[in-house]
Amino acid sequence: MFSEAPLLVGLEIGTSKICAAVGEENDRGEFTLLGIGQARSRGVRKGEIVDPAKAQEDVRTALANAEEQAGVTIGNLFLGVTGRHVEGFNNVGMHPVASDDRLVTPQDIADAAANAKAITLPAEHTVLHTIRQRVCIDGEEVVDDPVGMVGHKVEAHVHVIHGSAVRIQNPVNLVRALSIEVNHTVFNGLADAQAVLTPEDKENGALVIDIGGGTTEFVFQQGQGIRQSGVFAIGGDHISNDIAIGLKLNLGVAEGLKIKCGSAVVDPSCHGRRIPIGEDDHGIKSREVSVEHLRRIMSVRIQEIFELIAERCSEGCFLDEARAGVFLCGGGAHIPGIDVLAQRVFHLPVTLATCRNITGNSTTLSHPEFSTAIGIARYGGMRLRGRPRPRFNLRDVFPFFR
Amino acid sequence: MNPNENDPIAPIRFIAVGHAGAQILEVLRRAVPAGIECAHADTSPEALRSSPLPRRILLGQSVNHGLGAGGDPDLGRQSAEEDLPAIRTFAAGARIVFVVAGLGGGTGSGAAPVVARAVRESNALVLAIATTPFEFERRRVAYALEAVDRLKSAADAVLTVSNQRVRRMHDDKTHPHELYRFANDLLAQTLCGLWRLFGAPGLIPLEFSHVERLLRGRHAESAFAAVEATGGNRAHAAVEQLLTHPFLDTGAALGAAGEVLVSVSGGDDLQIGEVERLLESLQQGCPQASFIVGATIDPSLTGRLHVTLIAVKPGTAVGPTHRESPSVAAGRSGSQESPATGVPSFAGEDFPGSPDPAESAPSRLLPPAPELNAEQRQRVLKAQKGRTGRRKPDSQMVMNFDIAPRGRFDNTERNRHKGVDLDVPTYLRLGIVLN
Repeated sequence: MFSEAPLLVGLEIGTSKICAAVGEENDRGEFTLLGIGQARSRGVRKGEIVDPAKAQEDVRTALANAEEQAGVTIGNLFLGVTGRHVEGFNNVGMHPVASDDRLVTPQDIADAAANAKAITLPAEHTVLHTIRQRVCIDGEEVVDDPVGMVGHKVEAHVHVIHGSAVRIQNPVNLVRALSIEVNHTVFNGLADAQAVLTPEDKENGALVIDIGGGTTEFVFQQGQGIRQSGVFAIGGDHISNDIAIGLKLNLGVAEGLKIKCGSAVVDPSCHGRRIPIGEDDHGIKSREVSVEHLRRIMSVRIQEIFELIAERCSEGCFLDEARAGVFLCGGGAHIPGIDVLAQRVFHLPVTLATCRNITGNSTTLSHPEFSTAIGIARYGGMRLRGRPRPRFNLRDVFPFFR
Repeated sequence: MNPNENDPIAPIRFIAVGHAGAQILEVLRRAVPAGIECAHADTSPEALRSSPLPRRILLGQSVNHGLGAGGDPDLGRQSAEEDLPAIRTFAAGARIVFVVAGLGGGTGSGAAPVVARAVRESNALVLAIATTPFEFERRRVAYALEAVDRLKSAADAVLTVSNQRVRRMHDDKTHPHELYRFANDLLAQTLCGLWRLFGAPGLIPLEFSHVERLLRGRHAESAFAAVEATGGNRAHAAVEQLLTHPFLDTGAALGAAGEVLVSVSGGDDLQIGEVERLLESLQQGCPQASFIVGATIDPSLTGRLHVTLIAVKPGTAVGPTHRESPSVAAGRSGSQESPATGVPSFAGEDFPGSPDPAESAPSRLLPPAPELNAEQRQRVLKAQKGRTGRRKPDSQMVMNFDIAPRGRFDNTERNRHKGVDLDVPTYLRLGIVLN
């Protein structure tokens, strides 16, 4: 289908930065990162565009940056979407086996999956992804290909990720206005999982948490399926904002302070420690703030994010099944002590994620904040390539997903 | 359950006790072309002579020597007890008997409870409809309140209409006659509605047992109303009338109702759409209530829509409740059991002369007696009624609670999750103090 390895571009329009990853895949499905372009994001709040003009400018900068670094020309890309309107939930679709001999045909499975997709979404919402979890024949889970098995009823368990059609269309239009085609939209959390999880991690079950600037995405992947996913519109911005309000600082100073001496845990060593806020550009006299307060504010916020995720994940599945543990990525993964806090909340091994199974500049790959853009590009590769070994011939129903 | 159930057309009868009751029945009689079976029981031969009702029962000639009760409830009661057989004769074989009286005077206050009990003993469901006096008629108010208490223990259901409430619906210049006429009309209309409810052939039949179950023992907490509307938009008009009906505390009773029985009567032109619209609007008016619905067809109602409604407050315990014995126990001699419940074992547990009828009639609910005098009680009841007002869903103002700081997120969509705004700093929501 593709004589040459196509250029794979993933674009993440994030709240704090816009990031474009350029890569290519060889015929064995190995992904090589060619370049990363990024720009500070000014027109986005909580993962959604609020100032289209500025956002467009920033997207252009990031893409130009990436073109320059990779030495390519970008004509089309895959776009990551997020925002609090994006939601994931599990559903089951059923279909009776119609043939006389009760042999399950691919069509039966496709119909069952289509039924699972036929759900009542909130008005104006559209399905972003439908991911198969498992197929059951007469209530028995089928591990391998069910085609040809005998049964009366096929059940397809799927995870559906949906979002507001209008709010997904906004960034798509913005990119198209730059004369760049959007091949497909990808949920950012899904992309993260592509970038940071190895096949073993997926098989064991892993919870990927991306704490970004304005949103936190999470995906609980197990095997080929997604058990749970979602977005909370809380991120690093909220942490800075909390600090600004709590310590009565302006947002910029709060942000700086968060990066300089923030931590996700309040350890005894910071008791009574105070740090001076240096004279700023306006010559305001220095004052001191308590490090303990700073960390307390951060800690409760991050803990709340984790607890929200844990609560959502425990709806319908068990967090214990994430045997590979929790993978933290996004800019929030830089916060010192966040792994300790995550461990306390989830009681699972916690890994600060890096992009894996990818060749390229290792410094770039080790940055957790690039995982989304790289993951989008990878996802794009899989989508173009198709699944290497489609199990149920469900190309039309399930996105190719590995 | 009903002892008269073998007789499908067991009649409904009305008995007026005292002058005021007769006035109301007369209005009713004129409103119902088919005619109703009614009687006027009074202590005064004078009043009976000018009575508009065809059947007259003179009470207690030997006690009051033809001079009436003279405003003395005791005398009224004694008079009624003298002539119980006449009342029983009238009530015999009836399925439902309405006892209609104006309370406050000698005959109404004294005789009506006795009449109600006598009727009940003849195996009929007794619904007492009574007016209570104006507040300025101090002594009569006290008599009336005591009479209401006694009626509640004697009848299956009591509906009282306070003249004072009717008075409040009119301005100061209203002629007293007009006021009485208004009250009488309202009562007559309600009675007519109830009569239709029980009497007319059912299109969507309302089983008598429904009504009985609803009313039995709950008289203190039930409210009745009946309205009639004509014209193209009559369903809407009927709802409007019901929701502002004085008997329903201008709709407040509906808002607080736990069960609502609605009977819709119309002529041959009754449309199902109308009934549907009517019930839908009513259901919006009483959000918590479960509905029992009946519909009847009466050719004489062509062009009109008649709606009768009984609202019962939720959570009404049915069972015997001990009540302070009234000062006059003598009036309670005779059988106290409730024949209409059809439970034979109660016949043996009859306590002649028992001061507390509630003990022998478990199906009658008597509100626990508050240690208040009559006026205080009325005040308390009034205050309670005010509290359970009908909710108006859309009229509430939205208060802006934008006090918590959101900083950077001021102009963004609120981050609601299970009722909290996640944009507000967590430490503030958790109440962590930084000092």
